[in-house]
Amino acid sequence: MVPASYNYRNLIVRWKTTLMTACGFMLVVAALIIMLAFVNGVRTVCAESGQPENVITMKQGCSDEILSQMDKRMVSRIEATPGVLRGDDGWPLASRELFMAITQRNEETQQYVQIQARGMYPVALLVHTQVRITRGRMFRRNHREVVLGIGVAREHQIHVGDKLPMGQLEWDVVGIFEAGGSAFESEAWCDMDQLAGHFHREGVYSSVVLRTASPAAAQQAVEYLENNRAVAVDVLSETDYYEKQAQQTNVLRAGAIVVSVFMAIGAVFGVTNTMFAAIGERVKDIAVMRILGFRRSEILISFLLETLLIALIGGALGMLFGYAINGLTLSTALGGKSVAFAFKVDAPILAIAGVFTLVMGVIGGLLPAMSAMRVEPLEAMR
Amino acid sequence: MIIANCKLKIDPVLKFLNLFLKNLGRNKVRTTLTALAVIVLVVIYTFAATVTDTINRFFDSHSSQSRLMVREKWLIPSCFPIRYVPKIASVSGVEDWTVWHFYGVFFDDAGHAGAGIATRIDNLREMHPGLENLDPALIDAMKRERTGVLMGQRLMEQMNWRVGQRFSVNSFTHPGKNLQFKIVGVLGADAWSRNFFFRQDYYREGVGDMDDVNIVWLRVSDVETGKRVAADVEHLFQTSRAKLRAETESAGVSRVASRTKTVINIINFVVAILLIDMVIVLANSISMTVRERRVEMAILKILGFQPSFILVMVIGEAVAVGAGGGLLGAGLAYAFTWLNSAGQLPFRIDFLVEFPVPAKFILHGFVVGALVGFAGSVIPALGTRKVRVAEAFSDAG
Repeated sequence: MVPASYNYRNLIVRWKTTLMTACGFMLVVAALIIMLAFVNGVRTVCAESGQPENVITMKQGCSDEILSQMDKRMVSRIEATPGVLRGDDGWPLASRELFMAITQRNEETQQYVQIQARGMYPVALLVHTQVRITRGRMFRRNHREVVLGIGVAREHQIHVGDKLPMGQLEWDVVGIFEAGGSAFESEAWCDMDQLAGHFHREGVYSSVVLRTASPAAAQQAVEYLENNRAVAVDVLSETDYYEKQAQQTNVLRAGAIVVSVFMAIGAVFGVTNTMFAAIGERVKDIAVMRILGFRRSEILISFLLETLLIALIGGALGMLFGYAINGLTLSTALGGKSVAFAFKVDAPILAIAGVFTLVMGVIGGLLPAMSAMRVEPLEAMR
Repeated sequence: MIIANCKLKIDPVLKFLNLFLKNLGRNKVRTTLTALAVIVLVVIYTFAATVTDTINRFFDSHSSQSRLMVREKWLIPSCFPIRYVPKIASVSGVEDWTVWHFYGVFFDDAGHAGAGIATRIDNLREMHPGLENLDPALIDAMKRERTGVLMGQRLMEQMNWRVGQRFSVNSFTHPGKNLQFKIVGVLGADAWSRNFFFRQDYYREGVGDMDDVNIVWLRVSDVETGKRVAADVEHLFQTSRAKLRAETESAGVSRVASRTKTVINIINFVVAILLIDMVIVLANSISMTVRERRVEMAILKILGFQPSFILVMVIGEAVAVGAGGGLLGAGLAYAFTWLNSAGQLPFRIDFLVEFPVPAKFILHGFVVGALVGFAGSVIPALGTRKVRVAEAFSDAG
């Protein structure tokens, strides 16, 4: 076996070329990680948003809460669905909600800000059990108060005690809530009657979320509503609803893979070039190794290892740079909504990047290594 | 005399070009691999840049300062009473107006969707940018056919429909209110390729929506009049149940554009990475070339060639590879999307149908390739100044 130190020292001698080739790998791997971390971050928000025990109902044909409008009669029928849990007061754990995207112009900067408001009754906290008020308190009924998701509070730098303009009035920010990194963290929650009254949407609901005892009970409720002709609704378990929203990222994920594959092909050509040049300069070395008794297969492995070493250096640097974006928070449009998300670099993404690196290294090094393998011992004499 | 002067100027360029090509041919494997890397990277660069370019062009085509959008002040989607329209249209300074009723639909169970707009047909050409050159005969046909629809080009391609065909839709904005249409014509404008226009009266009767409208568009003579009209419209409905916001089309578009900001930034980041990657690949290749040809460069110096000549020779080789690779890469991307859109491939990528590579990108690829070649070769080329004449004898030593 050719000692690995031979390859290592050759890489050090040609450090500029090694570094530049590794940089090609680094860019591919870093770009791959960043693109996948973006998609992963958005998908995580969607995955965290739904609870399998909850059932979300919207007007039939409406794929998004922003388009859905249901009246009181329909909502009452939905609330009577069998299997819905009941609270201590005996009322069903059914949260009537009014979702609105409110655009607000900052008169100083002339920039528009979109606030996503959700009007609700106190029962909402018994339905969306992942929500925790972490600062301040919950809004009071019939008061012009809002609690903000941590994402929207962070994005707009709003704190408890501040005023939030929504419509013609300013609302008191009385609390900040966290919801396990879900899409709710991008919303402002307030009293249903205050919100509906202010925007003239009295008696209109976007959705009703039902709380059941278990995922199986939720599935039964879904089937009941689907087969109930008295209510024309689209009904999904909350996890399915957000999974559907997350499917919008499928195109982005496919795009990320395609872009990365093309970049990888570019990097493969780059490393092949480098290795051909390296071999061209070391024909006599290789011939001497052959005279010393190293077999062709050993030379092939030696040069493949050298390529892999370059790939690993680049891949490791790429992972390091890619990982630096982990946790960076931004917001993006998802259907009619805007969600705050954090880039999420996790083990599967790093594993994909690692496999990518190795595959690029092997493919890029194979042809040059095969050409090195064919060098005849006589070359040493020329 | 002039011809002779031109010849004198062109001759050295041709000589240089010939020299670059001959030098590139000396290491065919390296030149081929470098060119292939550039081609592959330019292909994906072209696709990525096309996405942002298409989106920007869409926003640019809707950036008039003399068109005002009137909408509900706070809420998305905008909706306000249609009885406001006569009052809005009568505001002093308004030259023309139209309305929009949104009608989002699925064309089939596979989820192919389109954005329908019910509007006034009589001034469709005047009130919609990009439709100024629409055949007036189509307007007349729309006036005759109550269920008539003018379809966007992409929708026609996607659904493989033809003019004269009738179809029904499944509306997701108006559940249960599904209309039937007859295709009267096709919209040539790129900006409306995912839309279809139909008659407002048919919408109102068919859907039963007699009370509301989503957007009102106003045309005014100039920016100053636009500002005054916007202020007047907002003031007129200040105490109404539904408050209105009037803004220039460009302001409205920039608000919508801000929603795509994150994705656009990520695509731009990828484009930047691709460019850097290309520079690195070329720089690496040129560095290796320079290293291998130091003796030859030293001999050139002995023969009296100036260092600037060697510098130009090295940069020229890189620019030639970059420009050639860029041209081929962009050309391939263009050809691929064209074949994809025309259904000439055994498969079809719907995403690329939405973002066809424009022909101008072929030249763009050439220029980007040349610039990348230049950027990648400057440092290695500057390194050739350090080549000493004595290096010509190093082999002899």
